[in-house]
Amino acid sequence: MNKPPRALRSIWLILITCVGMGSLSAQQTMISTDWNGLSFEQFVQKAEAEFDLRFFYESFDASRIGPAKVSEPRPLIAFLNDWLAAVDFSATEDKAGFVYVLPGEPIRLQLTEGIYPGAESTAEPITRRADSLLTVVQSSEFIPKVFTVGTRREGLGQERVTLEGQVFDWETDAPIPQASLMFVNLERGLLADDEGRFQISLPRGTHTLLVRNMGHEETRITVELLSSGAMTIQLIPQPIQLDDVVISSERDNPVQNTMMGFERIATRAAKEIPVVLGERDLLKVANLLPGVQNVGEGSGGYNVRGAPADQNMFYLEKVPVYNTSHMFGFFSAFHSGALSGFSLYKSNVPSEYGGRLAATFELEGREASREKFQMEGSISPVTGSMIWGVPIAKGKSSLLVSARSTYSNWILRQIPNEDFRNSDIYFGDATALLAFEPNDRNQIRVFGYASLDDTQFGLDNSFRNQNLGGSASWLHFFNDRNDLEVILVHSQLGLDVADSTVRSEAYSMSNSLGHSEFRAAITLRPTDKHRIRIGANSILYRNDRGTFGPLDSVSQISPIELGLEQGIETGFFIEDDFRINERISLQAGLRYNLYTFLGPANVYSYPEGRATLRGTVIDTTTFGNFSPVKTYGGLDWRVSGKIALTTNLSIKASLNRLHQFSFLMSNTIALSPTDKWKLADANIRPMVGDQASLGLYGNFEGRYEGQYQASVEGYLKRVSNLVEYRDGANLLVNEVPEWDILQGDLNAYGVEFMLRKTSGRLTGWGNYTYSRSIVTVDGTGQEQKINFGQPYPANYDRPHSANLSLAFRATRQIGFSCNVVYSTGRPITYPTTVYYLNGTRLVNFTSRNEYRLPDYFRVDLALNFEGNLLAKKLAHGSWSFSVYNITGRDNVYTAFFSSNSGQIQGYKMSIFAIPVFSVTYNFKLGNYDS
Amino acid sequence: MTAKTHVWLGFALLVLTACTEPFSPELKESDQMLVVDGIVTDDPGPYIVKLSYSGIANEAVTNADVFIVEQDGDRHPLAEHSPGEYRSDSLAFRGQVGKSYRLEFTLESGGEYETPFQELLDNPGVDTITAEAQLRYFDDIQREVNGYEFQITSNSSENRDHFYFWQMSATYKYAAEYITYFIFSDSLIPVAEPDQYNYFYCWRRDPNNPMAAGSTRGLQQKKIIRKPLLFVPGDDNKLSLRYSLLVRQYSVSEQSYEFWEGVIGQGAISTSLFNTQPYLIKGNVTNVEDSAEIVLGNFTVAGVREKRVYVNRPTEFSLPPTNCILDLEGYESLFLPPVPTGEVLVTVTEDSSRAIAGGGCIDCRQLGGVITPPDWWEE
Repeated sequence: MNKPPRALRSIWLILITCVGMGSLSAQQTMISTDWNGLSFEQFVQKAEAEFDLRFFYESFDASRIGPAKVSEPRPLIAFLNDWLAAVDFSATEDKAGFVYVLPGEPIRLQLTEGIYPGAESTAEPITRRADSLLTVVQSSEFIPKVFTVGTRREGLGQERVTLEGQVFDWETDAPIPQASLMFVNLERGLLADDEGRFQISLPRGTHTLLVRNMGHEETRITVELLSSGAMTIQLIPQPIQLDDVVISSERDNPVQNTMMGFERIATRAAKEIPVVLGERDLLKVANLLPGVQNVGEGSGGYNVRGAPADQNMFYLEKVPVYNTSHMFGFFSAFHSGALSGFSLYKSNVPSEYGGRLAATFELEGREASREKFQMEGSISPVTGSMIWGVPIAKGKSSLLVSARSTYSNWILRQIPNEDFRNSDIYFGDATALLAFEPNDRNQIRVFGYASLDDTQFGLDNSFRNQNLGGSASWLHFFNDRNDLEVILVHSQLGLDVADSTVRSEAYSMSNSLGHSEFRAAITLRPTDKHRIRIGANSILYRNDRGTFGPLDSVSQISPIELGLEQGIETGFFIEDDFRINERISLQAGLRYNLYTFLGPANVYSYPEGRATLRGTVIDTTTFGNFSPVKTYGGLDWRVSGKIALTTNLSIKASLNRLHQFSFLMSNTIALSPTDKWKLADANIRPMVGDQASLGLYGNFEGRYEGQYQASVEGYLKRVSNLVEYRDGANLLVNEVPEWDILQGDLNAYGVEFMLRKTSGRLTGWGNYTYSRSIVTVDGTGQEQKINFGQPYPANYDRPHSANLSLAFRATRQIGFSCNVVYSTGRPITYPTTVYYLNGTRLVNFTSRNEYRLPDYFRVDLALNFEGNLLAKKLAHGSWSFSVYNITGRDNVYTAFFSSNSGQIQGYKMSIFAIPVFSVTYNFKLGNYDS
Repeated sequence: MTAKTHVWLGFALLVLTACTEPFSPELKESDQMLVVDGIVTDDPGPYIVKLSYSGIANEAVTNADVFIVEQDGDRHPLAEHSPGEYRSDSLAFRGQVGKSYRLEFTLESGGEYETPFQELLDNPGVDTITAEAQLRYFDDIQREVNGYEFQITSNSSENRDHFYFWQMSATYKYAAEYITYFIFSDSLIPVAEPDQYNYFYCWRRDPNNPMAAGSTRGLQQKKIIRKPLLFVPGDDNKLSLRYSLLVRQYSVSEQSYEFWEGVIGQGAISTSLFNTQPYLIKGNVTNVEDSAEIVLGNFTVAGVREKRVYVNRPTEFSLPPTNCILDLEGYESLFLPPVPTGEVLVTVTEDSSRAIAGGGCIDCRQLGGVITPPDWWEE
């Protein structure tokens, strides 16, 4: 066996593998002659693979023992001891299936009673915990895991002293029977008795104690043993219900599952990643994932695999959220602390979701503990937030309530611009999640969400946007294999805008979108090989396009009623996850969408093939409330397959077709908060998207097994009936949308490389994406073309993109994290000609998005500092310091040309062009681990 | 009502660290395109149509046959007055409200172009132009500046929508800081009557001709009320004494309005991603044989009215002080070689020493003005 590198050698015990839970059987494990000739390393691998054992060993020169010589079946441990005798090492197996390979004699893994006849037992038998805490200093500093036992004075002159204690479950306070304890520096181990008690005679001094038990976190404790004494040990149960779970995308092992274009980010990711203005933003992490672009700094909307932002759906605990940002895109409208994480489907969206072509973001609400009260909060330069977790019926139900609000107006007051000083920004959001599990067979979740942006800009403009939503879901298990899920959802988006810049034209405008949905699905697992999901959903959209009218009596604006439009979208779906064998899996889904646009409506007709313009209207038909105007059917289908080449390498492919029946009316470069949703109607056809993707997924083997994952995914997609807008369209007051809309094609392709480190002190990922996104609107006749019918890059087309996001946990208290972001600059339209009219010099623009802004590059750093780790404390605090754009690079946000003084001058504008420092304080009831 | 971008969407720039700098990306000059710049009004002619090719050189299109055609009426030929500039015969032709006109021309190379007929619409005229003191933030200098916002109120007349664009020209009077006592031109010549302020007051025409557009579409009353036209910052000498703004109001067709509104909007500074893509703004001129050819510019038919207003030095806010430093040594050096070319004006300080100064401190002409007021100037 080769010598491990220095760094690894310095770690006393090497954890070779992390394979699940071992069996508790301590019966003798036999090896056969098949094992003959294996090297020590191969031997260990085989033993772990075949017998559910975990090996811990101190490094030694394996070449000195030669290959295994197994001439007849023998007990594994006995054989190991013989084999290792040459290097004076020995092997010991404990009850939990852990094999310790250490120098010297086999360690004594026996029950405590009377095994150390030489040691004086000075302590009373441990009967009650409180009494046993004889001398543990400061009683229970369990988090730093340094215990001082006894006093120097008492221990004076004694070489060996007796340590006794008991092991408890930290959460239930129940004693843990037969926990395994090992003093790693002494190479001595023992098992606690059935009451969790132990007693051992040890030399005085500082020892490292490793305590392990099935179902609990492995705990390493430093014991400063000054004289005989007792201690208690509390083990934290697994799985850990804390929110700080390692960054991972392991809904499953990416090599083994059939998912493609799938990412999962736990809240921890946002917790460690550097932030702007101190606001932890889970969703902004999406921008660091491969295939997710945005238009510019602080702009809302995610462009997934070359698609416009309105082709994404955000489900927050099943509630569709149509406006996902606060403050015009700077912050996402979700409070990260109230989420446990999100999943992003970039290619094969599950069949139960229809209606969006590019991506589905599934945000999962965080459940409160059902055992104890929780409270936490954070304070940043712009927002404050609180979370309360309340157990209702212990073990059965809990309620988590979160609220966040801004007090950012002080920043506005600093800006040397009266309009800003006269402004008021308010935004906030709140969630409540009630989780109820009356019995093993039923789970009920009720969720509510509210978000509000209310902004007064200067004296003349105001903006108010609110999202309200709620969902109720019931999951019923018929048995272990089959379940039923029923979900009721309503979401309401409202927007109010007022503008009095020109007093005689002061207006107010309001509109709203309601989404009411019913969904039911059955999951069947007829055999271990199939997982079938069948169901249906139906959505009623009530899109009140709103009113536009005078703000006050001075205003001369004539009121315009844009009217209500309605639609019903129903889907029936069936999906099967079919595991054909160990190596090959197939997933296939069908979804039939039936969409009907409903009245009230006045529908114009146009001659076939002609542009839909005011001048080409030939007829008008009026439809009453709820009368069907136009029905579109569309079959969505998806199929994906996985072939495992080895256990650590697989290849996957997928194909899908999806339909989308609504879109966001937006012709601005980035999404504007005043953009309104529109349903497909008699003259605007639904969009259809096709995507094909192919990927290769690998887990590292050998030394880096379980630490690194790598993948490459390529995709090709095409959207037809993409909604684009005529040049100069005014979407603010748009009485007849089809007069401003042109439908074209979007072609996108790309390849995404991803390398992840999923465990260890350093975690994170690096990725590189090459992608293109090209739009073509080339109808018949000039009035049905954009950019003269020539293809042009989408606003978010950024061919090269690379992200590095790393988190390093230096100690339990201190963590560092860092983002490095690079991408090609976004496309931009520059003037191409200069001409004069009426004595004024003008610029002319021809080819759309022909140029690009300079490349974007940014480095962010963050330091997270946890307060003291005392166990018994009322509250725990932590600080996050972060610097956004530490190099101060002035990334160009936009460039423009002005002919102010007769000269055409280009200007570039940057935001966050200096390092932006921010600090956030977080606090919660209880200690670090609460 | 105009399609307005929300000023407040500039909120995206909320962050203190936003900054704007001059920027000169490398641009490819696209192919030259024909540019038509022509207008017919109800003012007396001559009406001018300029034909050129786009580009910095602004190359003139000469020897074209150009006509303004009256619907059901005469074809009025335009003669080439200077290269690329074609003028109508003002004695033979004057635009009349209610009649429709179009432009037709044939290039020397053979291309034939025309516009649709447009009616010459009546213009109700300008009621008032008001100046309102405002504080405004400028991205490029990153600070706020006091100034006057000029606003227009039009007259209302018949009950139809009016589409306007306004062209402004400004002339302002300003003063030097010191009175001229001597003129040095090879030798020192005393000024005959120093108290006549010979070089003290200047009038300058602002070389910019800003434009604005507005319509009554969507308004209850077919009248423009206090529509912002132009902001004149008070951080230089424009408002220092007396400022005169002439506003020419063009009443045009909806199509011409869309053109002008688009052209004016794209010339404005845009610092937000909540703007729409800039695009090629097409006018109404087409190549008869090749409708795909891009012709820039527009032929506009308009009823025209104008109004001139004067404002004196603002009292609502203070103007920045002038920053004049007298140069006594500079005066002495006038008499040493090399001898300065041209005239140098000399003032006398309170303690009777002679001094020169640059930056328009003695000679107001150095700031671009002339010392005689325009004929129409009213004090």
